[in-house]
Amino acid sequence: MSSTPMLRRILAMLFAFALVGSACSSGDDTSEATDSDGNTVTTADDGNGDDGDTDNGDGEETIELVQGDGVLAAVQARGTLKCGGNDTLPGFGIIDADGEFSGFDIDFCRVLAAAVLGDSEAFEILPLTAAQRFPTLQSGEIDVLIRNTTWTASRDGSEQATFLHPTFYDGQGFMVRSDSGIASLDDAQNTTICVLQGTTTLLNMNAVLGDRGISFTPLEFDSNDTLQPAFVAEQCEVWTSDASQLAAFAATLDIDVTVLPDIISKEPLGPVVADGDSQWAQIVDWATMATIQAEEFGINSGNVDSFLTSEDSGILRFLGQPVEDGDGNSAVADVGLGLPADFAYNIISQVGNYAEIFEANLTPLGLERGPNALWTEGGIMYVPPFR
Amino acid sequence: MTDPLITATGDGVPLVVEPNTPPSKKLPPGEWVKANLFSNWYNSLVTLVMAVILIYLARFLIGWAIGVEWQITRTNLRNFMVGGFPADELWRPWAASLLIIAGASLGFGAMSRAEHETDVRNGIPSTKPTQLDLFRRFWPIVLLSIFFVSFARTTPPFIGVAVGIVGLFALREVGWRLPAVIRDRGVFVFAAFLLAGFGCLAGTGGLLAIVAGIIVAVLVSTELGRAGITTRAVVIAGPIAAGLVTYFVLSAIGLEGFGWDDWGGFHITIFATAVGIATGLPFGILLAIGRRSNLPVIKTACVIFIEFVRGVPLITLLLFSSFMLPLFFPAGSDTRSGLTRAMILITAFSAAYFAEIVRGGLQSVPKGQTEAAQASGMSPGAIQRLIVMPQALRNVIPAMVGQAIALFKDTSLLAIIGIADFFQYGEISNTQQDFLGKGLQPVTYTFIALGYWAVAYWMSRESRRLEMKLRVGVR
Repeated sequence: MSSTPMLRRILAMLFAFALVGSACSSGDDTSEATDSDGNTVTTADDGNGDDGDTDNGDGEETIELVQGDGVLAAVQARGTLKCGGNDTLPGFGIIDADGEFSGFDIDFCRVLAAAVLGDSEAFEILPLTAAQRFPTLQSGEIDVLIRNTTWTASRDGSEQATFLHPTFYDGQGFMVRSDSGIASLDDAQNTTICVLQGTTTLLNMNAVLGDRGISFTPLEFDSNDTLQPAFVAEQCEVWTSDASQLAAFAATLDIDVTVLPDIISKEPLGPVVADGDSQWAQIVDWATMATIQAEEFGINSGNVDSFLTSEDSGILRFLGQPVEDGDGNSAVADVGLGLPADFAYNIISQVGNYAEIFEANLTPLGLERGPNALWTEGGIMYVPPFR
Repeated sequence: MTDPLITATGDGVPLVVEPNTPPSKKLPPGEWVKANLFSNWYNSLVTLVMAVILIYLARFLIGWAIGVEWQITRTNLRNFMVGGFPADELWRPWAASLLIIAGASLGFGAMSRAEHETDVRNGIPSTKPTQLDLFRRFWPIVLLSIFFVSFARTTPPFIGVAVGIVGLFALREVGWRLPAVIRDRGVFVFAAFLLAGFGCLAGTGGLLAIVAGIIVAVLVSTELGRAGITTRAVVIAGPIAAGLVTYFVLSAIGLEGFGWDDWGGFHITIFATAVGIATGLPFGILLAIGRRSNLPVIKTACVIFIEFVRGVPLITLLLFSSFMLPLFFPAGSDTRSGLTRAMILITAFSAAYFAEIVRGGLQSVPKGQTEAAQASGMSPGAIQRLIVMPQALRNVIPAMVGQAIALFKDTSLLAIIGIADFFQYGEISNTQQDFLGKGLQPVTYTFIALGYWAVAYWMSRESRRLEMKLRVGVR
């Protein structure tokens, strides 16, 4: 019978673990401590009842949501912006060695936080898989989705999502080993092509190569982590992906590779918000576009303060500075977006203009501006006037 | 002092039963090699061929491990350990780990002393476990800590690990020497340290205060039992009052911390396993009892739950937590983090598996046990608690630890739903600019595999030790 006390001890210990486990779900939510009443003390399961109370409180916010200005009000009340992002996409969204998110998409989350809250660090990233992004956006768990998401008609139409001004124009490309003798897509007859499964990349390739009468064998992978060694080990001759990703790998692979000139699809990537809150959509849209407008004006994080005294009324209006009208009255123009007048100033001084964001994240990967150059410089980055 | 049980023959000569142990088969090394490796010509040949293969493999692996660039694990060590935990708050996970080690060490010291004393009182031969015994129990974990810390680039982690290892061995001695009053409450000592460690991480507010309140209530209730107080009002009101006081005091302190949504890496992996076991086991026991119930509704509900959860792969449940669970929350409300939702489903998953294991244990207890208990007038609750459950659980400990190990490894599926656990940092670190396209996956996944292996191996060794301790298989 000496085993019984031992066993009871083990059970007691497991019980202790169980209690600790249930404790943590609220560890992140310190406000709950003050909300909860004495009744919840008796059993561990009452923690859920506690959650119920919190949910009721939030239920009132839901009504506001329906009324139209929900997300902005919710973000302001919360004090942080919740972005859906990527944590494994080179250049766009990664976690660096310090455990911090960084990348092109992450910087646009920063832009939005600076515009709405005046603090470019007041944001949280929720890393999402490709399959999770739209359900998560619909559930309201994130305020905005900035995760290399291609704008397509079917997504706009059936995912209850509103796509906003693209931050990056990508396209599907092909990469081969330099010694393969393949110079264009037409040489890729009867090859094996490495591709990620479950992406539009595979569908595009089937359609376009099928139309062109190029026969090939697709070799599918679930992540670049497994695809890359296969390509290096010559399990496939061609690697297809978004051109930006191919450029990133081309710059870092130990073998000599060539990105083919053929681009077979349009992949405009940009921020996405849930349907049903047009004010919030406009805010995200104009915050994004402000970075491009700033580049057009030649304003960057280094020189933005010198523009505060600019002679150009367009720039003054853009930066939220008082502008004299015809009668000599000076006033700060409110464009009526629900944003602070100086939102563009906050964006540029805290994060930077489009060129700065691009150069910080994508130039190191070996990416050219290409179509993402300003319209004045041969690209297609063109935004409506800030008037 | 002579134990009366042993001197039971009446003529003053102690009756000592010497068990007949089989003759030792230990051979001197030379003879062992001859008997086992070179007993005849074809065995010798097989030995030589295998030796060549093993030497080749070992050379290859060692050469690879030395030649390969481990910079990626060095740079990302913190990611692998705690993920994106705020850098200037790293004292929290350190303090938590050290407090939990201290608690475990003190608790185990105290508990093994208490067992020792019980054994001595019952005349069972028992010696104090040596430090070497302790090392034999924990060497995989000790080795893993040293392996992990060998990638550190600054001094504090080395100090932390050294303190942890020294503490593990030193505090056990302290635990062994604790006065009997504290020693007999080793579980509560452990629980107190566990809670303190958790408080360092997640703060004192919220449910932590509730849990502490419950533990204090349980402590007070046990103490009242020990003191022999049976007055109804005191037995009920005392623990509740003590629990409430603890809750309000801790809430009032209001120390802030970081909940699990800010954690990552190995922390998440360990934590998800601990929660899966600690919440899954109690639920599993309830489900197992429910499944054997005579009440049709309860029985059917338990059967449906168990069979449904066991009938779908864990990854399906995790995807369910990611995609469908938010729909169960009222629109626009806080749907809780992805990890919290995943933990709900992991709990359900492990509960269903534990339930079936426990049911197997319950069925192994002869019906006569229950009937004898009924005949002696015990209440149904007491029969379960004191007669059936202890025997049932004792019989299925190996199966339960097997399930725990499986769960530990299964938590790597969290990566599929985008949770940055230990496994996911393999992919994350390979997408960083410095390491992109360098083909370092073999390095990171070797690192990860060693992490999983050490803990899983330690758990399986602990299970074997428990088996021997509880004398499972000896009836």
